[in-house]
Amino acid sequence: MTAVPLTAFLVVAAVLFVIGVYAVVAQRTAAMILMGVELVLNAVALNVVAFWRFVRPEDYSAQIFVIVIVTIGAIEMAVGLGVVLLLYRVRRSVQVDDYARLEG
Amino acid sequence: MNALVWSVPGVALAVAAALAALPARLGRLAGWLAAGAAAYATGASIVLAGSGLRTSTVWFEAGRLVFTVGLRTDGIAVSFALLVASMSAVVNVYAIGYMRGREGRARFFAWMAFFQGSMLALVLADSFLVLFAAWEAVGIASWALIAHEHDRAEARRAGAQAFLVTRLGDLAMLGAWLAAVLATASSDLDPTLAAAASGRLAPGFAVALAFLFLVAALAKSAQLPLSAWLPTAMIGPTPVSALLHSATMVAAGAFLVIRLWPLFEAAPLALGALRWIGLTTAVAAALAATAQDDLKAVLAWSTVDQLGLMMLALGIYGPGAATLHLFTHAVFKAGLFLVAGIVDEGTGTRSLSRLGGLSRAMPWGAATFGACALALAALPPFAGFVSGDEILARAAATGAGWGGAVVALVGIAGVYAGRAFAGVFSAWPGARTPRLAPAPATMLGASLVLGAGSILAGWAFRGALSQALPFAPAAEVSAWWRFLGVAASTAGLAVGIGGTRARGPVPLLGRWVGAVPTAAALLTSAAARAGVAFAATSEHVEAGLDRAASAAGRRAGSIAAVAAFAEQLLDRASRRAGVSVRAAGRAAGVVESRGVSDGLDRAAAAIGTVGDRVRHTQAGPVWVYTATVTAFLVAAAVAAILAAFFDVSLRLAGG
Repeated sequence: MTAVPLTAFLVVAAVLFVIGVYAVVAQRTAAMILMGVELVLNAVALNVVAFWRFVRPEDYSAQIFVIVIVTIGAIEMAVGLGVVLLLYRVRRSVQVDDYARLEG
Repeated sequence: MNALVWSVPGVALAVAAALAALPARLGRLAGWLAAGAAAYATGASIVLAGSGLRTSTVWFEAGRLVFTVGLRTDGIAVSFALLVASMSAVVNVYAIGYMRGREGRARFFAWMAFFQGSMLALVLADSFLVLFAAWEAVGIASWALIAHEHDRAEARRAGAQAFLVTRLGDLAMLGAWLAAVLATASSDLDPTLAAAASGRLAPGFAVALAFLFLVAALAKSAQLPLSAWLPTAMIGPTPVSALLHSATMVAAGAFLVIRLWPLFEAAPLALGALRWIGLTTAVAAALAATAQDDLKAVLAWSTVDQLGLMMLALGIYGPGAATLHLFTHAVFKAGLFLVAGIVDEGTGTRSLSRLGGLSRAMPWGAATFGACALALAALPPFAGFVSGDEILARAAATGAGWGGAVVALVGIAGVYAGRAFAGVFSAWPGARTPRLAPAPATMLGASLVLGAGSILAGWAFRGALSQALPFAPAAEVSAWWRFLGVAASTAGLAVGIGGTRARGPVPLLGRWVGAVPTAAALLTSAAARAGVAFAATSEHVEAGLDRAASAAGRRAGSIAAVAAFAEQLLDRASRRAGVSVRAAGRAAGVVESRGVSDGLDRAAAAIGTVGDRVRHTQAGPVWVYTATVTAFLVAAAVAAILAAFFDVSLRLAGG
């Protein structure tokens, strides 16, 4: 079997990252923005793992790092969704444009 | 003795001062006081005769110049003093009678005494200072006495004319004696005369001095061209005419030449001029005298004639003869005047055509006048013959022409003397004898004295003067010339008396001679007229200068206008400057209001706008935030990567 080179992982991670950033910036729906954030996080995790596997495989702190990222992702997702729910309750909309006025 | 010398003029001057302050009640005393002063002077002069004193004292010194005052009593001085004093005494006595009933007696005799004192000081003078002061004083006395009746305008004018004409001579004399003082560093007469006699004076300087003194003498003695004042002066009282203007004052001119004789001897040019002036004057005046109607005018022109004869005698180096003639002339001319005064007072007229045949009414007067007239005509043995004889001797010695001239003059003198006598005293056809008021004793007595003198004076004076005077005695005249002289005088008298008895007092030598006085007056007034013309031109000159000055003033005014214009320009410029400053200020204000404050406002607004815009980044849509955050994160990551990359590369490189 031919080994997948590091660059491939990095490229994929980059693509994921870009798509995630694009989603964060360009999406109007709050849930989609959260999804974009999730993508960004996952891209970063992929990047970390790739570097652990190819550069310093003995340093297993990367694995821990990934678990932390996932954890944070999860927490953040919970909190985020909760905020969006609250925002929906107040603003009656999921379009972030309507969340411009930070009052109330 | 010195005091005596000073008292000779001093007493007279003191009497003058006293008479000036005399109260009116004592007016009758005035004449006797004046006559008394003259008598005293006569006596004192007799005492001083032959004393040869000099009382010169230094008055002040100015640098190297010493100014002295002093009197001397040498022969010339004492002789003249005796003449002046005795004549003054006689005429003053006459004047007592003449002034009877007239007003201003005290004033008259005060001036007569002043004149006496001044004339005595003049003849006794030993220094130029005294001489000149006395000369001027005599001139003032003459003016005051001629114009004695000062209500009459013609009297005032005559006095002024006499004074001013003689003043011309005084100017010349002033220059002369000041030059003499400068040359000899002393104002005494002797140093100058000694310098002239010894030849120490430069010849040109001596001639100049002599000519200047000559001008003074000519003015004072009424010689041409300054003759006209003497006939005009006859308007004064007769005693004045007798004393001043025949006997003494006018003789002062001749006296000056005699006194300064050494100086004139050193200046032959001056004496040459003098003889010709004397001759011309004598001829002209004698001719004029034959045509006058006024008796006093006849006598006045006769005086000018006789003075011309004296000047002629001086000019031909006959000072002794001239002096003798001066003395005798004084006696007989004064006598003529005194009788003329008696006639004038008695009949009220002096005009020959209105007189005539008075010999019966006033026999003594006629005798006196006749004696004096014969003396004037130089008939022997009268006084005028003695002195005329000496002049003739000198003239004949100088030249036949001069001898002939003197003879001719004697002849004409005979004509006018005879005419005057006959015109007044003999009954010529058509004469209406006027009524004659009797004359006071004083007038008659005085004239008698002089009448007697005109017979005897010649012989008396000749002896005394030839001793007293320092001049060489005249040579004896040849019998031929003496005969000619006597013949001429007789012929003249015959023509005068005979012609008048036949035709009345007409101008015996023709009417044309009447032009002589006019010509003399024209000559005399020529200088005055020149002065007046000069004053007129100077008026024009002054007007011209005035115009120039006002033009300059106008130009200066235009300079002021230019200055004002410049000032206007400056004003306008400064105003514009002020306006522009104000405009600048306003512009600055505008700039400030628009630029600064508005700019600041706009800046603030811009900041507001910017802030507003920037606010939108924070108050805007969510994607803005996310985009921002994401961009920042990406940038930071890229930077970190790059930094790590470089760091690794460096470490790899550095190792």
